[in-house]
Amino acid sequence: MLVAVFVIMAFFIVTIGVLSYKGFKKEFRKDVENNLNAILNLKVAEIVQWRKERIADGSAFMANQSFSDLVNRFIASPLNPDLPDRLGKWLKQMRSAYAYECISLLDTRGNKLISEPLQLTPVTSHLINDINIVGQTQKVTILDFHRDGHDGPIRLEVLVPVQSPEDPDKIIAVMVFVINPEVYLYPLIKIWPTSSRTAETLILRREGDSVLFLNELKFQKNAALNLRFSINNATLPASKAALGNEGIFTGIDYRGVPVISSLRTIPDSPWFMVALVDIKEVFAPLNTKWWTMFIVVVLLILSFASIMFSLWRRQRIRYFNEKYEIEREKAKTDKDLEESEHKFRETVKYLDEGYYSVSIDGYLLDHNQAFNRILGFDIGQDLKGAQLPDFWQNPDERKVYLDELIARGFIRNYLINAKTISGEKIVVLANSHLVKDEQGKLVRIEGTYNDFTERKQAEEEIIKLNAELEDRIAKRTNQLEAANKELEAFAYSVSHDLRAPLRAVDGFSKFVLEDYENKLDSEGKRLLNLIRSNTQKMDQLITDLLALSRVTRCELNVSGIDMTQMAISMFKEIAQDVPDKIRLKVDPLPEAYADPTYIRQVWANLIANAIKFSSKEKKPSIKIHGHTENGFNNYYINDNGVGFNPEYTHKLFGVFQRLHKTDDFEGTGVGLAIIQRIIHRHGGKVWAEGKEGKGATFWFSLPIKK
Amino acid sequence: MNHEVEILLVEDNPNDAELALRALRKNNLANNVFRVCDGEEALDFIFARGQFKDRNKLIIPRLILLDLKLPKINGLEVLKIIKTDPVTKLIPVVVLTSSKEESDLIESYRLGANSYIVKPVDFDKFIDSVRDIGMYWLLLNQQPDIKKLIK
Repeated sequence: MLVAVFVIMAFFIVTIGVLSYKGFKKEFRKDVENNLNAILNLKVAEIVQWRKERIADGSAFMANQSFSDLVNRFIASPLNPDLPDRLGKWLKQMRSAYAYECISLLDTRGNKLISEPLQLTPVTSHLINDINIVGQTQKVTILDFHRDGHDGPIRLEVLVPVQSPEDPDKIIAVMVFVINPEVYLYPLIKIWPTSSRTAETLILRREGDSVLFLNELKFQKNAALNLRFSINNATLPASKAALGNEGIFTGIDYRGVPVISSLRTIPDSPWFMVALVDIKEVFAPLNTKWWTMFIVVVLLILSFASIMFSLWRRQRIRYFNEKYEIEREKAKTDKDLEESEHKFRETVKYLDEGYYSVSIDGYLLDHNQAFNRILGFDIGQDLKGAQLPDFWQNPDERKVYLDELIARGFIRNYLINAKTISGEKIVVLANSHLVKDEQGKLVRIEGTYNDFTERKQAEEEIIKLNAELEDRIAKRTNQLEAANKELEAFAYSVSHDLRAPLRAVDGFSKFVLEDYENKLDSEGKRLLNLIRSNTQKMDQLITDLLALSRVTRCELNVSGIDMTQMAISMFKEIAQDVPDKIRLKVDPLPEAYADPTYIRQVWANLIANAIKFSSKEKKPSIKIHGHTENGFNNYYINDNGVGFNPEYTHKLFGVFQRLHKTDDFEGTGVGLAIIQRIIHRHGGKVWAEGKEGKGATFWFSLPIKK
Repeated sequence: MNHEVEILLVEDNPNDAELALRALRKNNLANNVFRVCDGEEALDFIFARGQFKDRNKLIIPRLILLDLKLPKINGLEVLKIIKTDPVTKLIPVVVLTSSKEESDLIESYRLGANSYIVKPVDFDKFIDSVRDIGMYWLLLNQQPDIKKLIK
């Protein structure tokens, strides 16, 4: 896998490298070619220009009337000393202006008439032939590179026919402009605009089947007009150029070195030009580039290989680690198993329950210490081989037990009436199961058992005690019922009989006040009225006490109560006798689930209290609020009245407990006790908060409907 | 004892009886009041038997003021008997008692009591109550002529 990834990545990197190198190489080669072409084009253009200028120089003389007049006259009278001077001046001027090596004037037969500078050497033989041609063509002609004589210097010559002033068709003389190529032409060809070791320009001429080098070369001496190659040389750029090919050509140059070259034919001339440069030199940077690329690719591949290698190594390490872990786990498991078995053996040994393994025919195969203890043996005694049925009180019971065990495969919490070795009767609680071999054949019975004697006795005791308890409860209930009935009778009697004397006291006091009005002084009347008012108080006390006892006695008829509505209606009912100055605020209260009769009484008492204890305020205000919390509906009523001393909060709900003087506030001190009983009977709570002079808040809670 | 009896007062407590009579008198209702002291006497009077066997049976009280706690036969039993007799059940019975027990109240109405008045401890209020009873049952309320029915 990793190897495949590596090969693919390496291939990828190499491909990228090769492609980018190729792209670069192409670009680079194009640059080189463009450079070569540009240089060659420039040179060709200059040479063409140079040739044009030479022809133009000649043409200027050919068509010059005054010059031809002068020549004509000079030919006619050669001895006129004036004329050669004048001609000499012409030639001298011309020569110095255009840097000709020498300008001479020849007659049509080839005799030198005059030359500048003065040269006494006879005219070279090839010229006579050329003069004739010029005389016939009557055109300015450039004589190509040649040597004057066998070892003479290389020269070019421009031949200009001089026309007769009388007859333009008649040539009277020929001008010869001798050009030394070393002055201008060769430097022009030789010059190279960039610094290059091997770059050079060739100028060539075709001669029959060969190509002749016309200029001196960088790497071969004496080449000009000497070096020639077959025109059919397929690899030589010079031959290719001489065949008229143009453009870029890659071949082998005269030295036998691979070169890249640009070929051109110079128009209106017999010349061809080649600009060339060694491939080795020009593509040297490419070489560097290639190496750079190679190194980069190799480095990339190497680094990738190292990453791969480290990944592989890590994988190997993990693999071996896992293998090691597995081996270790295995070793550990084996050890654990051994330990676990040991632990199991130890556990069984010291188990509080008796452990036994017994054959089907009742022979004990294995047992633990508790087994011995329960059956009354020494705990260390080996009982293997003992007959287990011996410990059954009744062998028939064992049969039933075995049948059930074999039928179901196991038995849970089976009570067995057993006996110890000393014959003491005990009860054991057994849990047993069958053990089968691989063929499913029954081999033995295993299980545990507990001494259940004490527990059984305890259970029996509990049953007995329970029965006694039931009995006692029934008795108590009867007593309670009787007491309740008695209480009812008492309450009835109180309600009925206690009032009668009160009524009598009040009534007869009134009789006295009415019948003996004249005989009583004001003190007597006051005292009688005190008697009367006290009977009223007594009556109220009785009423309240009866109400309190009724709360305890009566059954609750529970139903849903709209508490908001109830609180408001109770307030309206109670506040009837009170001036409207009380400001009441009732928040929406949670619905209660209780006995409406009693809850109405709770509201009545609380509201009455609130009104009563705030009655002395200038602006009495009462607030009723309720919310649900922790499974209870909590309600409170708050007033801004006299409040109470928080130290006596615990006394608030006691019977006949009053925290205010009767002179200040009327009351029997039973109202809150009644509230507490009602709320307690509903499973709720009552509590209060207050401060002296800062108002009071009375809370009660009722369980949310169950 | 053949004069008209308008109100039969069944009251064992002499104090209460005196108070009641005074209250009736104060309201000018005491002219034809007859008082009996226990349930037995009350029934004897109503059904003209026992010590009242010589009484003119046709004289039927127009209103019975019945206490509940009575010796011998208690008020509820008396009420039950009166209200099961086809003739006497037409007589309005006002239970006049000290008991504010709801069980008494319910039982009384179940047995056919026409009113249930708790005797106030305050005598002034008692007078008011008696006045209201007399005004209502004797003056305001219309009842059938029982004598005709007996005949």
